[in-house]
Amino acid sequence: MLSIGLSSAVLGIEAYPVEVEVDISSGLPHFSTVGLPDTAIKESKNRVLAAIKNSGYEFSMKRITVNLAPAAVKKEGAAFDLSIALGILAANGQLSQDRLQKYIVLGELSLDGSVRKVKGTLPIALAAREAGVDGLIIPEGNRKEASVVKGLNVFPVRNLKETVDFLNGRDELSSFSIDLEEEFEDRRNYETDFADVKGQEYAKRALEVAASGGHNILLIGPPGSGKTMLAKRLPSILPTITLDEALETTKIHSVIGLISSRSAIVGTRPFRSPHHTISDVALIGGGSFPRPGEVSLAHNGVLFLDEFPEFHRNVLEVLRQPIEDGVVTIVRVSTALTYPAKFMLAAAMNPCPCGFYGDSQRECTCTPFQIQKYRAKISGPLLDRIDMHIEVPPVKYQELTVDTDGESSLTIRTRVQRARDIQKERFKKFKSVYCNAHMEAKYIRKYCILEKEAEKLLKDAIERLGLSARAYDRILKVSRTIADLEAKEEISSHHIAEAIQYRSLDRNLWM
Amino acid sequence: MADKIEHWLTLNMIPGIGATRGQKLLEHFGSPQSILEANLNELQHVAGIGEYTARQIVSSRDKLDIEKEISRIKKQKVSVVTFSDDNYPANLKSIFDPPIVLYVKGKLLPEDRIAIAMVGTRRPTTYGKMVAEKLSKELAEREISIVSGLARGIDTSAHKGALSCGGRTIAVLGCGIDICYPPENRALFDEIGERGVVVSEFPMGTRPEKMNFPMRNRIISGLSLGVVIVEAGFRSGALITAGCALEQGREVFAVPGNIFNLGTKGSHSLIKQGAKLVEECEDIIEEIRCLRDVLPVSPAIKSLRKVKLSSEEERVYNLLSFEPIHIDLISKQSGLVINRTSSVLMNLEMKGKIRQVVGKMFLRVPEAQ
Ligand SMILES: Nc1ncnc2c1ncn2[C@@H]1O[C@H](COP(=O)(O)OP(=O)(O)OP(=O)(O)O)[C@@H](O)[C@H]1O
Ligand SMILES: [Mg+2]
Ligand SMILES: [Zn+2]
Repeated sequence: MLSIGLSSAVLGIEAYPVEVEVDISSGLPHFSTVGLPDTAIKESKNRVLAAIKNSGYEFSMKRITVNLAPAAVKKEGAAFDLSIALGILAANGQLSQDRLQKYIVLGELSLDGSVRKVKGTLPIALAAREAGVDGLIIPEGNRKEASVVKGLNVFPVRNLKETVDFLNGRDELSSFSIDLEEEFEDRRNYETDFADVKGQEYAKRALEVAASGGHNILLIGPPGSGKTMLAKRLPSILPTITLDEALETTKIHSVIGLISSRSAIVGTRPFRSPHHTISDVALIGGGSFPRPGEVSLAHNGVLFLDEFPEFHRNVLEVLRQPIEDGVVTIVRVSTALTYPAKFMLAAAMNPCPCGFYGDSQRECTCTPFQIQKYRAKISGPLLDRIDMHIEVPPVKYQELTVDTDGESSLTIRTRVQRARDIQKERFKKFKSVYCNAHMEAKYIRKYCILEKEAEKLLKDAIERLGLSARAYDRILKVSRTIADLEAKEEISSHHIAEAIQYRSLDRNLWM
Repeated sequence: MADKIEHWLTLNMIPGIGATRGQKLLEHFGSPQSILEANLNELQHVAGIGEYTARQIVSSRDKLDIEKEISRIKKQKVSVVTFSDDNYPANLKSIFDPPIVLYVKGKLLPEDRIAIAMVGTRRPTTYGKMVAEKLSKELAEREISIVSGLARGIDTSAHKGALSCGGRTIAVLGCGIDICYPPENRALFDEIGERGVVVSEFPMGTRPEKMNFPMRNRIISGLSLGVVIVEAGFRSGALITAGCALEQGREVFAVPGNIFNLGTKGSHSLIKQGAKLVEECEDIIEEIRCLRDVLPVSPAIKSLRKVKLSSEEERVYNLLSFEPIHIDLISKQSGLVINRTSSVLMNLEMKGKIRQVVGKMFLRVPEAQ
């Protein structure tokens, strides 16, 4: 007998329908699957058969053929287990065919028949709504994630038996729903706050400027100076994430199963901090079963690259495209996938290999040559896309023990938001530009109008301080943001002066 | 008839009578009481006391509210040591113009005769502070009392160094002993009052006026066998103290510093003129027994070339020295918000007045001579 059930799989960050066809015929006992890679077949077969048996269903092994259509697209993972098990039972006459075809079913099986969490629930739920089925049957652990989609009946299940009983009409399952707005509201608090950071006024100001204009930033300082601590708090001063942005980010996180069973939605801007040994594929996305990389997981948030010079050169190279375009495009023989990747880059590095160059407490043991080599690792096109470089000194013990709090993230975020609003208005005609950091040369000329004195200062600075011509545009963009923070139309010399300070690496202070 | 404290205090409080005239009158009349009872004619015939001063004495001596002064003294737990008292510091007695009275918090001890003064700039470098603290501690460990002026900077470090090893230290004030100046040294003031001694010749409630400090300086050197100058620019108070020391026949020591630092120009000129260069406390100790050379002080003062600075730039520039300091600290000390500090520093850098070094630290560029 043949049975047909519905399931779904993810390609990129979108889901597509999968038909689960199961045929049982007499013959030598055999189990074959079309549309899954070899290793997955074996594992799936074992789980499905054990789960059926351990759930108390009669089943004698026959010739079973499973087809996951479209078979040409190779699918990953165990999310079809439940569908296959149901298909076998239906083909065997133990389950109503009619009802099976009205639900999209998803779930990995344990040997005892219980249903485990799967990846990609949110895109699948979105696709399920479009497909107009009666409902989505998903593992209980994914119920919140699925119920983000309004107008879709979500039926969480705990085990195979429960699912069978439901589809046979023996037991009713109640559909699960949440109040999305409320859920979103509940998840908007950051665990960390700028108030925790003692001292570091200069670094905090720089991060405020960076957040205000969406400028990528590099933090340079000895070990333990608080670079990681500062960067971690960057998302908390970016403009509050909107529901639409949150849904985009959640979708990407859902694809690789990052959404915990307790949460429905990512309510805060993400902070991703991959280790420097990461491969280019893991950073950017792709692979034989394409999955989003760290840059996409950081979508609408912050990508933090600690130990910046330690990243492989080719890894850093691939960052250029997403920084430029805000998306990652992965080209396959048959298709091209895109993953959104609009993030702010924060990078951190020590001033030298040993870490203590310029530290008044510890002595640097590096030779000038070593320092030069270390610095050279981060030069080039990627550094060109980082508007601000700041130095972060170690904070003295005395300052760490004072208990006056710094400004809270909320206070800073309010100012950042105001500066962003000005930019939104400024760029409302342009589709791809929404903050100062993204201005191209022609917009820079148009929107960065300098007062006379400011112009002179910038010119002098380029000459006297040995700033590169490259630095010129970056200083203009950052000074635009500084002026926006003051709600000033024209850029004055003190805006320029401050912006020049944020070009530490352009200065010859290091050798 | 024994002179009462009141008479001494009154004499000390009469306007126009300082240590010099006070000593002349005491020599002539023998006691404060006789001075206060003398008539105009008797007074104006004392050598060095003109008609004007004599009139001042007569007109003001009865008007002074000495009751109030006494009650303030009691309330503040201050004691008064007069020139005729046995515990009046022996070193101080020998100077040309010793104070008539000393207001004292804590106790003056005979051992305080073995004292070394340490003074210097109110805006020291880290190096300067380190030196002051170290030398002061090492001297105090050898039971030498450390005398200084409780000012910001080197003075503070000198006192702290002595206290840090449980040694003795003497603070000499340029204001009434009921006033703590600078106010941030309150805790230090109290600690010295308990474990060392605080002295002042000024009546209660005297404000820390500028003119008081040279007078205060002569007491600092007067109490000591020698004066160590740690960091002193030209025309600084520390140089005045060194000058006093020389007049009083005290030894002068100076610690060398960074030649690019204008804040050590004064100390270096002293060394050039013969002050003993100090690298370690032994350099001081070996001189204490035999005080010999007296050297003339005539520091040539070079005026600094001026570049036009805005008032904010001036404010920030004045905070900087030749020791790099971090932008956060500059912002804190100048009271300018961090972004303002940042832009002011850039402007100063562009004007060639300051330099930036690694770590977002700033320091002065040496002035062209
Ligand atoms: N300004 C600060 N206020 C409060 N705590 C701080 C501050 N700076 C550092 N710390 C403390 O020191 C710890 C180390 O800081 P952090 O890990 O951010 O330094 P880092 O510069 O990233 O060092 P590394 O180069 O080793 O990664 C922090 O977890 C925090 O507890
Ligand atoms: Mg770190
Ligand atoms: Zn090093």
